[in-house]
Amino acid sequence: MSNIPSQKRSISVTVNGTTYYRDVAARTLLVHFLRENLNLTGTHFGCDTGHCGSCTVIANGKLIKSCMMLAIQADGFTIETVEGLANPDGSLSPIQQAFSDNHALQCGFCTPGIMLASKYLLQHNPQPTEEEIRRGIKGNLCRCTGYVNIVRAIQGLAAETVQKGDLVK
Amino acid sequence: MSTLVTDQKTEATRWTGKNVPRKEDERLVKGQGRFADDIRRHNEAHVYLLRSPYGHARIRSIDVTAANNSPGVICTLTGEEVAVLQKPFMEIAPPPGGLMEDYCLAVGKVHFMGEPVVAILAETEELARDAADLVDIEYDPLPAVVDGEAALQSDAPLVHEEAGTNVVWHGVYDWGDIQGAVSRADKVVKIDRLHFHRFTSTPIECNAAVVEYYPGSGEYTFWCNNTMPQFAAMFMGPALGIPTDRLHFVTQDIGGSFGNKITTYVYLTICAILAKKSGRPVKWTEYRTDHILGGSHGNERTFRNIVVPVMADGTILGISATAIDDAGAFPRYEPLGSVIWSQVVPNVYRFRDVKIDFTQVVTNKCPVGPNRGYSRLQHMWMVERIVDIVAHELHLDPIEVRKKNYIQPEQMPYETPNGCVYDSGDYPRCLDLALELIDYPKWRERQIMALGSGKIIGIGIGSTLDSGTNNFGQARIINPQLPFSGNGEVSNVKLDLYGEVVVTIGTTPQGQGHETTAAQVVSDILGIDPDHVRVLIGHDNARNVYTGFSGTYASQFAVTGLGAVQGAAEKLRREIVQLAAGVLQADESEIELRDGSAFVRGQEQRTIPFIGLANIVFANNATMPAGLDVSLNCTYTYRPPFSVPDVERKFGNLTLTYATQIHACVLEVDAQTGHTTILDYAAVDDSGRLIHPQIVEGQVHGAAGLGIGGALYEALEYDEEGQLLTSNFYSYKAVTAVDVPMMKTAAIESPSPFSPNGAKGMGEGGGAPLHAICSALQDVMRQTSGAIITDSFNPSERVYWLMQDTTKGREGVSVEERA
Amino acid sequence: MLLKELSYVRPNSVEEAIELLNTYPDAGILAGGQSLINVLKMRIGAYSTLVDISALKELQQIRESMGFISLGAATTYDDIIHSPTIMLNRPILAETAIRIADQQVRNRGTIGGNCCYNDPTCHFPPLLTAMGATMLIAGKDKRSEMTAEEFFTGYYQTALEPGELLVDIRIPKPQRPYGDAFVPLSVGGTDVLNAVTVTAHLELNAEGKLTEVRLVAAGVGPRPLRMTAIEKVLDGQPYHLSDVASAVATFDISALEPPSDVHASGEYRRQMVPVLTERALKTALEQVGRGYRE
Repeated sequence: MSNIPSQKRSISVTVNGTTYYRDVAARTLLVHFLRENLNLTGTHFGCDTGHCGSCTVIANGKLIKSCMMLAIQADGFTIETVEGLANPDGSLSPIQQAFSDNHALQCGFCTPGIMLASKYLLQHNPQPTEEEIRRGIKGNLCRCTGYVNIVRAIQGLAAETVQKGDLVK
Repeated sequence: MSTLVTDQKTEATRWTGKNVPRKEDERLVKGQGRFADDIRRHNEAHVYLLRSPYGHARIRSIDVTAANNSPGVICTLTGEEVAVLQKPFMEIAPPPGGLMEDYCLAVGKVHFMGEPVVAILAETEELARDAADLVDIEYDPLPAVVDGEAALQSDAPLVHEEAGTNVVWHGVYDWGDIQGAVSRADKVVKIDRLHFHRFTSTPIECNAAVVEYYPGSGEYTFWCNNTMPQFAAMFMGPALGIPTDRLHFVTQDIGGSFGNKITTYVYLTICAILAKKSGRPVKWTEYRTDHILGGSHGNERTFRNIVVPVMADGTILGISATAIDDAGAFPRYEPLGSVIWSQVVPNVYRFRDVKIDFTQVVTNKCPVGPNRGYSRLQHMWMVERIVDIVAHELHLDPIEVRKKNYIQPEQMPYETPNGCVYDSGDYPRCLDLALELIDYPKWRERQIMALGSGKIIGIGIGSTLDSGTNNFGQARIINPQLPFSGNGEVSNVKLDLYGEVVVTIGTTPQGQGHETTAAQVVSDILGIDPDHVRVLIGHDNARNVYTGFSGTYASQFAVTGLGAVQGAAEKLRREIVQLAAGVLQADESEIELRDGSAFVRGQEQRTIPFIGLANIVFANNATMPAGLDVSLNCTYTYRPPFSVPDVERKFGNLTLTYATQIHACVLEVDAQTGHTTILDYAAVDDSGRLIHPQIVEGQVHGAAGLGIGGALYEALEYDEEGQLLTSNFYSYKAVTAVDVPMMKTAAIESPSPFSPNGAKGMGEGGGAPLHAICSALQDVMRQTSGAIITDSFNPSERVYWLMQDTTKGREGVSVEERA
Repeated sequence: MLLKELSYVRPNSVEEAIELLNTYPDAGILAGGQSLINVLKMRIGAYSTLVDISALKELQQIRESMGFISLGAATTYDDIIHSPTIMLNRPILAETAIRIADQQVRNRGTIGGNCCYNDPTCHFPPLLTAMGATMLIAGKDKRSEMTAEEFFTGYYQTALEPGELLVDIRIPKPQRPYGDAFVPLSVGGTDVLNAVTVTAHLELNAEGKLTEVRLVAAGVGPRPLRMTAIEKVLDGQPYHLSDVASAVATFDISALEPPSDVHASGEYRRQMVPVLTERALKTALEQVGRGYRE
């Protein structure tokens, strides 16, 4: 029975294909759970108000900020983080490659979140306009690039998708 | 000066100058970067800092009893203990600034909202935070001073009673003959007040550290993201009463800094004291609100009584002004900003007569620190405002006024009125390119077509310099007692045991691609592919090379960092050639290096790979050719050719290279709301010889993005009591992707005659978007109320009010006709 | 960023949720959490128990009935944006939702949360007020309803009583040609923070005259403000009204007492009300005009 409030609970979360069983405190944010309990430190945090998007992950197919959700809410969820982006052989996925080719990252701190936002955008809108791209990554702040090369990387991916079929699955 | 040595390589086969893939990228796009908060130590404890809710208040009492008894709490730390355990941090300023006492936690009173008051160490972050709610502090609020000019009033509250004044530093800079210029001018333009607002870069990674104390050696290790560790050490060693070599800094990946991570020594000191007190590694995680409240803000500067003698044709003869710089509550890196602006006294212009009365004050606001374009952008913004206002008042075309006053390419190298030497550049050509990129004539037509449509189009120019590679001797202009001058960076390039090429540098990159560009330089010298060069980034003063200047700041890596790498690689090359010549029994002049091997030129079979050479030196040295003394482990310190400035005249060469950035901005203002939309944007840069054009362009984009944010959306605003009203990303509106335009860029290359590789430091950008946007808004006002843009921050509301007011907006600007 | 210790419970039904809210009086409702989690991070107004309704499918339904469409209170913004029912019936809901924050927030944030938070910058309180929406509320052993106008009572305040849950929002499907417009004035960048918004709704009766005119300003006071003076002037006017400006001018902005804060001064907000009202009216009138010709 789940209808008794509790400060702690056992949850199971599948992250990048691996299912983890952990006890979490109700107050633990998902971002802290990923970083501290699962040691998936590729998911970052850069604010405390849900504005910077560095903690972005894809949870049950939805792009979310993992600092705006409790870990306990993710019980039973399937989550994708930056660590799950690369191809199974470790080579870079098209999004990762496009970010590198276009110099769409400098310090690389916001990059995990922005790549996931880009992936989500292209999954839902494979041929976005520049404005749609900008709106698609509006929830992710980058202070290094002025966003120029990030937009270019996504534009390049969209163009490649047309040529080579579905790059972003 | 050394020159680049290569093996008859043509430009086409060189690695430098090419966009080679960044070595940093793979780990970063895989989420495998190692940032400061990713570091964990066994048995670590977590610190939470309870901060002042007041801008200015006396601390009557602090009761930590309940916090100490709270679950998981290991210990607490208050100002009372700190006053015993720490000496006040050193001050750069002589008195009165030098008298201001700065501790890592508030002692006796709080000086700004967000100042740390109590540190709580607990088993977890949450438990430390929980215990903070149990700390009982009684404050007696004091009147606050939150404005630089107000701080100078005789009845102003004193931020530091021990100094007896709010003045940190005052000096008069007087070059040429401003009075003479005023007498020979056709007109004198007077501007009562210009104000450069407070904003900051907010790197997305906040500060973080794990600090561990080893009682056995008395050494503290700081795994952190401080970007100028030896500067931190200089403050921390004396404060903690220990030799600075007991302070071991380790940095790895850093998530942006823009200068903001230079002054974190205050926080690292708290962690050090707690680490020793508790015997536990101490982890500090800073969140955004902490960072905005108590991190590092950009300098706010007010210019008063600006007098500009001009000729009728728009030729500017000089400038005189009073500058009041607001440093916030503690000087820390300051008052260096009180001299650093003088690297670019005339900006890109030819005027020679300048007098600036400069005062820096403390206020009850967060301390400032270097912030992208540090101290120069405030000054160059004033100069650019003056140029636009002169054009506006004389009814001249601001673009023509710029061109008329620019230093011309044939004048290079150009000595400024205060002895700085602009190394090279072609400002008129950069401006022409920027105008071409936006199709300037088209916008002038559209501007006319838009009249009466409710949308007003404005076109503006921002001309700016990015002065790089400081001569630290300029600090003596502030305080002649300071034992600083020159600059330098060091690198070690070696063959490792199995012939691997390994490079270390003392820098602390935060996205500038040091691993990549260092590898490019080494590759050209040693004849190998950059993929085969391992560059160990980050500062580690227990293991890597470093100098007192090591770090990543002030647009200098391409010159100092790569200069050091080049020197060390050339030394290694000479050793490799000597050794190979000995082994291959050839003349040194016959040896060439290619693909990780040494060859006798023209004889492919007479060769030895690097692994073979390394084997001889490291594991087989009985076979070493007789008489050779090689280590294959070469260190080189690059020192720019500087001398100590003339402190009396405040005269000398303060920086080695001057990159140019000229931006053109087209924007549209909604006449009914003041809402501003950028329609077109171009940035032209001249950073000398480009090592990696894509990285340089990326820096241009980034500086432009931050500048656009600063011009239109981002401001750190305090109320009268010193409450920061914009302390998180809800109220501090960091610019999003939607509001930065797809800017157009172009580059020209005027090689620096002074740097070892022709490159110029770049990356700060000089605040060009602030200049260009203000300039474009002035063009909007020309078509509406005639108001003058006097503030660097122009959100919709300010633009709206300026357009409404045909009288007030002009207050304080006048033109005096001379006989 | 570090929340106070709290308890969490995920009910399996609305009834169970209400039961929990009544059993634990200091419990709060966690829906999308896109505002609440921030409030908890700042440790202001902390709840000791969170009742998580985000997984309750019965609160996420978008249904179409004879006279109205209804949106479950836990319907996310993203679901609103992608709902064919909404696109067919009241597209303004989607056009407004897409302006909220960003994709991540829209994937979790809910219309009910937006309403119950009732920050003056929120999008839905003024929009629902102008649309004449009805709020359906479930409490212990009772169900009640009220108009949106009655629901939004003050800064961060609603008419929701302790132990009650907003379950459904009913939005009329106008039976006549109609126009809807939502015009925000965002400060700090595009769709960043609404300093002021004006929402307009109007319909055309069989005689081609305006009726059901509702104009709502937000950000200028504690709750969404009906500008009834202008509504009265417009009521019964022909839709091809040319002089919108003079109708708007009948509204006395000097009586407004908008708040001043770091985002905008009260005076600027005041001055923006007629500007945005005129724009909202023009948009709504163009829309109703198109509908009339069809």
